[in-house]
Amino acid sequence: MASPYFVSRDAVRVLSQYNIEMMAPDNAMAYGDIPNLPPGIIGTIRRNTNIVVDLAGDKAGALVLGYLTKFINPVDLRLYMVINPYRPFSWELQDIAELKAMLECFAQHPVTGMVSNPHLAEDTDFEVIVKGHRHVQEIAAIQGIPLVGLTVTDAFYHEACLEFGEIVKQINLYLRPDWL
Amino acid sequence: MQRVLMKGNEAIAEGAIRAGCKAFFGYPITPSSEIAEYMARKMPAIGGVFVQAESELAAINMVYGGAATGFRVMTASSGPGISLKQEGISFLAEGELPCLIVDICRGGPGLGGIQPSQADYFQATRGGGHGDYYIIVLAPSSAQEMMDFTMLGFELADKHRSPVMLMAEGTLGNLIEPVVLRNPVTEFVDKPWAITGCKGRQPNIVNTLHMPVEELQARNKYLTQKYEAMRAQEVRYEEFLIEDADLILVAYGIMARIAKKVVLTAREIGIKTGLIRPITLWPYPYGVLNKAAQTCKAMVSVEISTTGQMIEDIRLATEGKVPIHYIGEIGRTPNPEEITQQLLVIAEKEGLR
Repeated sequence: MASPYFVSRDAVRVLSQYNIEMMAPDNAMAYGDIPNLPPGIIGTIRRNTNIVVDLAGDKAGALVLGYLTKFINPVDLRLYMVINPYRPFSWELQDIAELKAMLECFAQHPVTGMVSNPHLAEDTDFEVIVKGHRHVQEIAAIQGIPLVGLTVTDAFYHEACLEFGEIVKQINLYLRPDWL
Repeated sequence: MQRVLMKGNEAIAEGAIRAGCKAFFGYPITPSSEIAEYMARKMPAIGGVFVQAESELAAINMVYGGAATGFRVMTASSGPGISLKQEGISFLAEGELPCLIVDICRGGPGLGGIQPSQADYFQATRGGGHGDYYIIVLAPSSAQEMMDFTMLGFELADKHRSPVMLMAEGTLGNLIEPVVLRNPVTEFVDKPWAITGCKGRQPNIVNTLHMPVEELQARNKYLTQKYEAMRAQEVRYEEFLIEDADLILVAYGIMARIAKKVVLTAREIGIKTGLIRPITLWPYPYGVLNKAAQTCKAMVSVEISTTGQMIEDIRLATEGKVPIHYIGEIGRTPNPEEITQQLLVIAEKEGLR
């Protein structure tokens, strides 16, 4: 919202290869020091196309969610929490419960699913994924949220499928600088 | 050993808490705001204090008051905010009040932009405050070091009774990397000078006003001796493949990481290249660079700055022994390939390829 660092718009070229149009603040406003929404987003929502709104799991994200959901038909809305339990405020049940309550309050819509995304970037091994995913499974069960996916990179995809079945989705990373 | 995934800014905040920081006073500014946000959530839970001040000036003077009580305290900002804090930093240095000041740099001058920068080098190492003073400046190059140097910063601040600055680029503040959480600090130095209530003893006074000329001179002489001790004890740096290097890159912070990749690529091409990474920007590793200048053929300062700022310290260090070149621009973090291309031009100019 107010940061030019490692954001989805950096992947616009990759996304366009998959016929995904990127909507993000453009020109000078892309580097504004205040939150701003891309122009035309309401019109796009009203065109009834398939839209992914990538929001930060914090108050800033919830605020945007609250603004946008009044333009979305609730029947069509899928509200997913993507949880990497190794990120700050994402391990403890209370933190996730607070985030869920905040998102639902702003969206006036229940969270419809949880995506498990356990990793430690380049320090990830299969044990990290298993431990993290088991933890997310527990949290989702306690919160009564359906677990709709476990995301892993291609290096762990086969092993994860054997362990966790069809819930596993393979993801590719595009925003990691190659000099890391 | 607990590993987590953190932004550099988050690692600073968590490192501060683990170092025993009890109060954060700040005013949010991109790209440093995650530090304040993290502290705002965590400080109340641990019985600490978080204050979003009405301005950067207010925040740095709250740091003055908090540090005077002997507790570990800090503030964080970016270039424009650090400019505003400079008066307070001068007072903190003279008052000998240990604290941590974090500068997550963005492009300037003026309001500039929120893109990455290392162009706060002058104001970090030379200060914009008045009077004869120095503060230790640490330059981390990873999220792990953001945590580790934060903890080190508090330790050095207490050791020397001085403000310590941690300076990093906006890129590093926002870069998410694995971090090993360090054990919390449990032992702290005594601070018999702190203002804690004077029942049963003479009052402690923290004062920066010295009107008689003799008192002013004595005070400055004493502080100068302290800075000499810092220079003698706290120089930190890293050398990488400099023994046989004809061309030595000098880079700090996140640029040092990128420069390491450049060194390896350049060596594959046949150019003997090395890297010196200053970890303390003040005190600067002058002696290390001077020694290296006796054997290499040229040095290159690599910075996220248009004019180059650290390059002046390299010139001071090398005393004209070798040509000094510059690679740098502001507003983005260049990748290793881009720097390598510019390095090849310099190598050709110096007859090294």
